[in-house]
Amino acid sequence: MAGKILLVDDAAFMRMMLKKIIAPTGHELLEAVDGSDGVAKYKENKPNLVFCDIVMPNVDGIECLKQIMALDSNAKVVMCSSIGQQTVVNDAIKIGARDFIVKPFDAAKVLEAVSKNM
Amino acid sequence: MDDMDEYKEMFAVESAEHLQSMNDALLSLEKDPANSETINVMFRAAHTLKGMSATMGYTNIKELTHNMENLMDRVRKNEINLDSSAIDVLFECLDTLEKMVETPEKSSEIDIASLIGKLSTNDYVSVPLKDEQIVQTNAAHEAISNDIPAAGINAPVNSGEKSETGNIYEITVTLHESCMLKSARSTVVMRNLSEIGEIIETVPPIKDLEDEKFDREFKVIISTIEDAKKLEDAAKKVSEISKVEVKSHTGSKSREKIEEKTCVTDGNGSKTSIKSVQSVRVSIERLDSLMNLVGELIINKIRLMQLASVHKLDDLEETLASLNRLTNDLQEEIMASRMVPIEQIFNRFPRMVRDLAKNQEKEIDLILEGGDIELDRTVLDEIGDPLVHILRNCIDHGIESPEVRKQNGKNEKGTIRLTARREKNHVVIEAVDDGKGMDPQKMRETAVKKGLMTQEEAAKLSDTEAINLSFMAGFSTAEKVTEISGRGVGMDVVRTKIGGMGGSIKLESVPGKGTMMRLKLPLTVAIIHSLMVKVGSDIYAIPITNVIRDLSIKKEEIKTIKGEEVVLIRGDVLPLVRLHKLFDIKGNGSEELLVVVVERAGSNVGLVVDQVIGQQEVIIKNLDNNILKGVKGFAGATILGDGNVALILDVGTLL
Repeated sequence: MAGKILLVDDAAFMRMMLKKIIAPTGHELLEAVDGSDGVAKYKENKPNLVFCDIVMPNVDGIECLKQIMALDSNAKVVMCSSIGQQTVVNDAIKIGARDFIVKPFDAAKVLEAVSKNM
Repeated sequence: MDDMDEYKEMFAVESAEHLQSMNDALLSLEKDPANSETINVMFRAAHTLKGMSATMGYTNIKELTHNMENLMDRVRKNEINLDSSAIDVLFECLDTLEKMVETPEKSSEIDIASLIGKLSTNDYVSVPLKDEQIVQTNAAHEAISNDIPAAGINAPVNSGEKSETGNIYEITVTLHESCMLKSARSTVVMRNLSEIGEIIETVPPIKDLEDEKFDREFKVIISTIEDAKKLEDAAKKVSEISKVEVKSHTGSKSREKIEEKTCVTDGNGSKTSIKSVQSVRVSIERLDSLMNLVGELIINKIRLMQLASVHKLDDLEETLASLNRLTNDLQEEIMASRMVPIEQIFNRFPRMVRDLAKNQEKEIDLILEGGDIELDRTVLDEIGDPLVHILRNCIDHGIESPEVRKQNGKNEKGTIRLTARREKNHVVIEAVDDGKGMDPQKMRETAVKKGLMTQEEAAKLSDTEAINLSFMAGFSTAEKVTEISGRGVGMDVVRTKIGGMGGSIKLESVPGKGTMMRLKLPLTVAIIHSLMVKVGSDIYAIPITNVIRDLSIKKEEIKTIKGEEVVLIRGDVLPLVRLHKLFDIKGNGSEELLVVVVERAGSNVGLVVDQVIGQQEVIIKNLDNNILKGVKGFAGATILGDGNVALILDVGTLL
């Protein structure tokens, strides 16, 4: 069943990459350009899944995650991290992130995260 | 060091700790076999070791610990009593485990079938239980330790219990090869699992998971009312997982884990971190090379200081003074990081003394004091065997049988007191027993009987000298081969070893009252305080622990007894050894002789030198890897401030 997926990343390039990978699954894709935009878009659209970058200007990924979790404790957020961000990712999971993927994105893993969390 | 080496090292260190705690637990269970807390300690240690060895693929270690765990589980559940035969078997297991853990790669070669047979036998006195009682004891057990009864294939499943407290499963999760943030991945798995059950334990521990100290696999022990399928699904729901295996677990939740859990959450329910001493494991090789580098640094510093003073560079001297302080601090810090408490070797003695005493049907109390005194790791490694030998002598030859002791009006139980204390720059270790002591006359007779000296020579020995005969090569070996003493190590080897480190050994004994052995050890072997002397044009270092005093004598004071040069000091005969003769160096032939009196095997010897330069800290460089290897009389070499090399005398083997 097709659902909504929100991609939160300040880098358009990364959003595009994710879109290209996820598009074939048929889910509806929404985009947010930073953390605060991400929270707003979550409130507005109640997506089934969120891919959230960690390092972003203004409201960063962790803060974005916190705010989304506060809005909806059942929110499914997948963090997009880089190698070396283990501690941050661990924190994110403790806050409530469902999953994480590591950049550079491996299409198979992104799809795995989509299928396992939708 | 690659990953595997790191795991192996971690395994070695941690399994040794668990073995030690099992040993301690078993010793106290021998006195108090029903102590449930100690029984639990034993159970947990066996369980943890099982998990660790399974992770490493050491099947035999896993099998043995598994069976030990089962036995302890039966004890915990009051199915059997821990009688002395069971304790003996467990001790045997510990010995075997120790061997296996030492070289785990070879652990599969050790036959453990008979031990497992003994562990799983039903011969142990069982506590007969009626159905009613089972319920009662289980309830009592729960009330005390908040334990969740094990349920699984090997345990009878009581459906009532099951519905209340759930089953315990062991889930083995293997991460995908390409998984990059393994720790974070494991956190996701744990979080998912914790939503449907209570996580009791993880292998490796959570802390190690968080620090990514694991390979691709980790285990989670979980208590849940859900079934295995549900657990598997929960774990598999996580990305980058290549395999999930769910098994019924036969162990139980341990109190320790619960306690840990309770301290994670504070009153407000928010997470607080457990306070712990932050530490890193560093290999001794790395510390050695650090020490060596600091040594080199100090040598260069001394050279610079000499240059500055030769060329009268005042401003450089000022800078060097602060460099001097820094290097001294650095040296002290590194020395301190190498220090370990002596209890690390003391710990193994209660067990050894117990075994030997039991073997020889003696009753012995071992009192250990000063276990917190710290010694350089290298020194500690070296004194383990000598101490074992000394203690063994106390048991074999010192403490009498209970009957004899009673006859002599002594307490039937003998006492051995092993004490460590710090004295200035040394550590003194004393082993005192209240046994039969040494009879100088018997010592003389034995020496003659063994052909070590003639009747006349023996008769001339003072009592102290006669007692010190035990340090003579060929005297104490193989006199009586006991279980441990089969190695043929004599007291002469002990003395050589202690002397080789720049330490000394002293023996005092009163017939009928007991014997005291005193070891004086340097705090570290890497740097020793030495008296620098000159013979001919060469400089030698004599470890200060060996030096009694220095004095000067006139040539005409020297007397000759049986072709040996001696000098009378306050009525005592002091044998003289001219170092330039010994080393075949030309002496200066002056009328006044400088003598450094050193202690050797309880008696004093005067070393004749040309010049006494003064005291200095020297850094030992081993002679192990070069042409001087095996040359007796030298403990090593050191590099002096001017770049010259000085040999360090080993008084024990020099003469």
